[in-house]
Amino acid sequence: MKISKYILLALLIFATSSCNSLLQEDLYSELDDNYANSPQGLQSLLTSAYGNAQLRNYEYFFTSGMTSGENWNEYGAIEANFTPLCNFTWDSNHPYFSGIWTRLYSVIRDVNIILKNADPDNDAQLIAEAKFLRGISYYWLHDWFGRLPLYKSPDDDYYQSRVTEEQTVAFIEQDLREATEILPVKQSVYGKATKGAALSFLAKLYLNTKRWQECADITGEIIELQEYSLFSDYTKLFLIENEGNAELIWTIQSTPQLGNPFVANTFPTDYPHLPNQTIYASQVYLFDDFVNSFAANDKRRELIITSYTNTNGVFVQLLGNNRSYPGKYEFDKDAIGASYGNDVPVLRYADVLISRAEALNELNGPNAESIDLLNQVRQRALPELLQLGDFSKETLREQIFKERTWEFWYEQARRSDQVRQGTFISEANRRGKTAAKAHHVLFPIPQTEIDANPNLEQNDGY
Amino acid sequence: MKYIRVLRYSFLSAIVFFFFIVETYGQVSPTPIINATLTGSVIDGVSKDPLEGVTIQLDAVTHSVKTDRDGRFQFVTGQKLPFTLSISYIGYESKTVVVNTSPTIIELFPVSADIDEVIVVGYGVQKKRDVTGSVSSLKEADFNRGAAVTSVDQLLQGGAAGVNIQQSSSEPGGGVNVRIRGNNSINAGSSPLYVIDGLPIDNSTNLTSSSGEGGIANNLVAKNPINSINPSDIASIEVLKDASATAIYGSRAANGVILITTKRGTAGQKRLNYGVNVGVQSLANRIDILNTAEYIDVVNQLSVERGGDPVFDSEAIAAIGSGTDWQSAILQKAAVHDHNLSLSGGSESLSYFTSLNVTSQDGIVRNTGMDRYAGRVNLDGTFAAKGKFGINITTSRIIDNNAVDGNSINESAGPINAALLYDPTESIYNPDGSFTRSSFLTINNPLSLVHGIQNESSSNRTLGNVFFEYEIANGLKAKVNLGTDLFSQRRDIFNSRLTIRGAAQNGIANIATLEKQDILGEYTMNYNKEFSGGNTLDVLGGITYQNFQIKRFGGSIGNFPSDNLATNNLNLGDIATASLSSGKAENTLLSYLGRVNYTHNDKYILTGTLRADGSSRFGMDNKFGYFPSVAAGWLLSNESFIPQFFNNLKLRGSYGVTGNQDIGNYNSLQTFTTGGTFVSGNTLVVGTSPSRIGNRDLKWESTAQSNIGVDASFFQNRISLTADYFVKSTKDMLIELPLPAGTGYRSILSNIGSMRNSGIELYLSGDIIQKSKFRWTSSLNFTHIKNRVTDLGDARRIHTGSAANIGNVAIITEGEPAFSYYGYKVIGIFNDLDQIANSAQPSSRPGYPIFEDVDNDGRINSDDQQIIGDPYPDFTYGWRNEVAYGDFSLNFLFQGQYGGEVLNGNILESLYPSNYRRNMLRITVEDRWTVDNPDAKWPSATEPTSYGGGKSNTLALQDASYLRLKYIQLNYNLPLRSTKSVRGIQVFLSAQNLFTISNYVGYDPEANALGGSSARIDLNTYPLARVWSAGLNVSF
Repeated sequence: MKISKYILLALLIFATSSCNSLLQEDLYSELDDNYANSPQGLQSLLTSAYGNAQLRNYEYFFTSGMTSGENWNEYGAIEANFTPLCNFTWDSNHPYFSGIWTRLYSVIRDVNIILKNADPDNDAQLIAEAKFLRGISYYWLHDWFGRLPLYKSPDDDYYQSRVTEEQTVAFIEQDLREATEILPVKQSVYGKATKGAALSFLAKLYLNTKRWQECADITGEIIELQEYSLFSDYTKLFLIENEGNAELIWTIQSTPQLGNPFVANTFPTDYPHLPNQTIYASQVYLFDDFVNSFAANDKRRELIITSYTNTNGVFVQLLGNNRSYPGKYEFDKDAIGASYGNDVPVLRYADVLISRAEALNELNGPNAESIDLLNQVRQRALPELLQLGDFSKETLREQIFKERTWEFWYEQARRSDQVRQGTFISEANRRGKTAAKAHHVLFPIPQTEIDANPNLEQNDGY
Repeated sequence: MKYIRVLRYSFLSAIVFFFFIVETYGQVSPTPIINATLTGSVIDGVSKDPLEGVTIQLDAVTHSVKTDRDGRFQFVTGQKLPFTLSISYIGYESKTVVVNTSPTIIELFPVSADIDEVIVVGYGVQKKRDVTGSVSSLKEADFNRGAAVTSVDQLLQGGAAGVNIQQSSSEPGGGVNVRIRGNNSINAGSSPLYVIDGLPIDNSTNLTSSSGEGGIANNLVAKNPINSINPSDIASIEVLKDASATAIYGSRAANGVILITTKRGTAGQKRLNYGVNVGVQSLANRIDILNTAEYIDVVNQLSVERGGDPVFDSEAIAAIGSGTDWQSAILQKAAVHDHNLSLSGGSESLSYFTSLNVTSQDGIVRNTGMDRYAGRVNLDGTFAAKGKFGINITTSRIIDNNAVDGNSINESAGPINAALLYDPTESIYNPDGSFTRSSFLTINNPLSLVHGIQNESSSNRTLGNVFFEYEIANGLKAKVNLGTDLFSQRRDIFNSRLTIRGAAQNGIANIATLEKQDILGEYTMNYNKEFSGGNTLDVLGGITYQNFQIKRFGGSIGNFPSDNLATNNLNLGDIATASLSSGKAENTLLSYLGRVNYTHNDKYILTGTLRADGSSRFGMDNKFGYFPSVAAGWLLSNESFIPQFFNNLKLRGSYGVTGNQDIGNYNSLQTFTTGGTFVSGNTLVVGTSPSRIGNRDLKWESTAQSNIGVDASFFQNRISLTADYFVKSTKDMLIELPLPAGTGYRSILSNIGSMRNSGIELYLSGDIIQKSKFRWTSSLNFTHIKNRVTDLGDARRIHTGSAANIGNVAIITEGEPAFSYYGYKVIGIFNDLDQIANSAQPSSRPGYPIFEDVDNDGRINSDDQQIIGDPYPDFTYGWRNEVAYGDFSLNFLFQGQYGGEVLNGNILESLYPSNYRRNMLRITVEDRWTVDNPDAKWPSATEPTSYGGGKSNTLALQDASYLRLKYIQLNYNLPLRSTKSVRGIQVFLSAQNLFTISNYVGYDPEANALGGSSARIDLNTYPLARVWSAGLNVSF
């Protein structure tokens, strides 16, 4: 009897006195809120933002090519996602739209936490890198979706409305401008934000918004940095061994440990490959009329695979069947399954030069400088150079867009170029994509986002 | 292998022993006695235990005797054989028998619906007649039978009203989905609480390869964590269903409670039991895919219809020959063995039950299976004058050879996926003996997966508790219960060069460990007193504390010089390919509980319970939740105005609130964890990012439940009926409220909205025939449950339930059943161009499916999705029978569901092949649209990615109704002529899953690739086995 009473008493004391501390939640494998205020925490958040800004998934990579008629696809589970992109039958549930949206806004989330906690006096470069990453994230989002809901701080209301086109562009411009003022020309770690990279995105922003003078000024500034130069041999420019060369201003870096599946989704399963290289059923092609648009001696065409002998020893003709393979990215000998280590360029110095040529042409019509800029890029691939006397403003504009298709194929460039040129829809109609309508120049806001945010309007037409 | 030999040996010795017994007793010929002495014994006809104190009356004389402790009796009389004896015993049916021989054995059978029957309730026991809550109580005789019944849940399936148990995966030890009275939660758990001998256990899932560790499929169907309990140790299972019964478990009770009571020793009755059951399993239902010839034909036809040339010319066809039946190649006839040895007995001061179990079940998919070794010691004793104590310890080791299929496709999928899709024109082996690999498919040769991947787990689990109870004063008892549940598991995966992914990395090894620790401390006091005037009071109060800890570790590495060492020498891998992970978490529950039970005149019963639960998982100001219940019962049969026709008639009503805290840890806190990985050159740098938006206001999800019920029995208790109607309303649901992804977060766990489950349950049982030699008892249960989401607040619509390459198929939205299927309705197949031109799909071609244009806007887009079905059956049922004739008896159970749909991933793989060289289901091809088959059900299959709409559509949604003969078992009790050494021998033959009647196309309409989720998709399901087995029980 006594024993029971003691136990009862002991338990009562135990229960009443320590109740709150017993129910305290101790963290073991997660870090608490203070972490975001520490220098290590801020750097680590920035690393995460850099990582998420490397768009290695196919969501992003193939969308430009499939919608602009640069590529088409057959086979593979992925075909179900590519077909609506090719046919202009996509809707707001297409998984690529929510994929890119979610990914880029997670960069913005990390940046916003950094900007809230960083000390402007001591962390100037950290802040500049963070703003660069936020700037390019909003840049891509704007490229796909148009005007955006702007999340600028972790304390912002969950349910932001979309701001105007002007406000969206101004915000991107401001982030990138502020970044250019602080960022160094060189970074010790390859792939971190540099002044040149920030200027280049700014130049592209001005180009795509047709702010020609600003584009010309910024591209001029990039050239004056004397940090970048054209790689001499176009056919070797994309090789893994030449990654990090002086032409590459911003790339999506990959390594087999954390690679991309672009090669795996491009070639046929019977294409000769090593046992460590996986190829999916999906195949991505170039159309014959594009392959045939190159001058016969254009070195840039050499990277296009127009025929091959398959693993069963059978010769397969591709050109003539609209099934040439884009061979810009090699089969990484160290691939791990479908994970290949090819870096994919986002901005090359060639783009800066051609963009400047375009801006100058729009401002002044053809002149010696714009022709010279184009020839700088052209000469490594073709001996025949452009002559100033052959062009009017309009024909040079056309020539510039042609040069861009030859130079930047399979580099996610054509959709933006067509949108700027105003041919995105007309080209689709010309290809027989009757479903393509004016509103398709922008993609729809992901349906999940519309469902989750009552303040968000869908793009017109969707 | 060594172990299997041991098993075989022990089985053979069992058989030899069995024949020896038969031989021995077969030789004894009956010798009629003329005179004087009659000896015999009386035993319980069900348990075969001897009955003490039974009255034996010899007809025509007044003399009677009683049986002794061992059930024996003896007469000395001058009469001659045969004698006529009248036998009677409290709680048993009286009997008159004519006896011709001596000694004789007389079996007595318990009176059904025994009025003094006691059932286990939360923190105690109650007389069944005093229970006001809704409880399904199953004794050993009610359990499902068969060699492949290896878990507690399988004992119950189909046997209790309101309890829906579905085997998500039929692999040995595979996961089950248990729902008591419907699906009560959306993002918090929906599985019941299990309490084993007073120890509430953490039944959360163990290690699965949920993120494709080792380069294998993501498997979301964890093995059933309760496999560690040996089903043969279980004496009874009580399923607590309404709030009156469950609210004493407060915050973990909203999904019902399953109380498991294990066997205990009886003083003075020393028993040794040995049981063996050996069976063979084979595929119950093959998926009908194209055979080689049909495949060649269809691939050629489709190629031509697509505008190409035939793929196979006559020369190629001749070279292929018969091809390969890949389903048969990966499947096998598989053995299952089950051995149980138990010893029980003891004295009044210390009694014991001990047992050993060995279960070995190979899977019907090659290279899968489960072995279990389990032991138990249960002790009960007394101390001092008024003290009692008990100790329960069970420990087990399970070796799982895990299946490697799951929610993945292509080269990451497992052998079942591959076998259904692989090109049947390929042979298994190359001439050099290596596995072939199709140059057209990025799928592994199915058999190379079987042989190329090892996935083995070993799990050790020890559950133990000890209690001391002391009667402080008359009727006042105090009890301390201390318990623990220790679990540790290690899983080794090795993906060798035989597979595509293994070859890409020169072998991938992954080792993961999981440790769980659960500590319980509990103190309760109980006061029970009968007052004058027919008032009885039973009061319970107590405090409990339970702490759960979990630790994980995992490591992967690749690039091995050889496959031979598998996971046993990770040092040989390439450190550049290595990755590590670990985690630790802890949560705590601190609770105060109380119950009052009051009865008046054995007619009116009132029960009230209250539990205050504190959980570490909730926001700082919301740690505690309060869960009350009240119930009343009226024993009408004790009222004089009720006709004697009713042996028992009770009305019950209850109302109460229970909670749910099954949400994972740290959801109220903002923390940081592993974020994005930055690649620079060949260097990877891992960053950190926020884990979630913490919700400081997070609180309990609560479920209010009302229940009214009636228990009735009539015809001398031969027929009894239990009927219940309930309404469960869950509010403040713990829902992942979708956030705009613009915030950088997908969702925030919030208390939002409400959901309602209502339903009726019927349980009818009867002794239909009750002759001395011929008996038939039967029970029928029926459950109808209706689920509705009544409010979703700001969440509006939640899309969920996605499987590999299919996307979300389920939706949660107001006014509809939670996890309804959401997608496109196919209303036909296009036949001609005019029809297409006037449709919402102008770019279609003949043979494409016609999707319903719900909003009539002339185009098909996401706005045309609608609710196309839901996974809930209209009703579920079970019909259990025991037919006994003499020494033979036959037990069988029919079980099934009517209504409810499943989205069938196999059909989607066939409708939307990633590659035209993949095999297809016969059903989608046989009746596909062609110019010559304009009234087809299925589309043309020529350009599936151009169909438009989406994969979640009515073509893939199938009725999951089924009726299954779950088991049938024929038993024979050997007539024993002596009780000297052997008490009883029973041999039996049984079959499980003998047949299933269903229109469902797939291995099993119960399957769910999403594991414990309430959303359902059938994809790459492990096939259901039909099991034939034979066995023997011997008791000494």
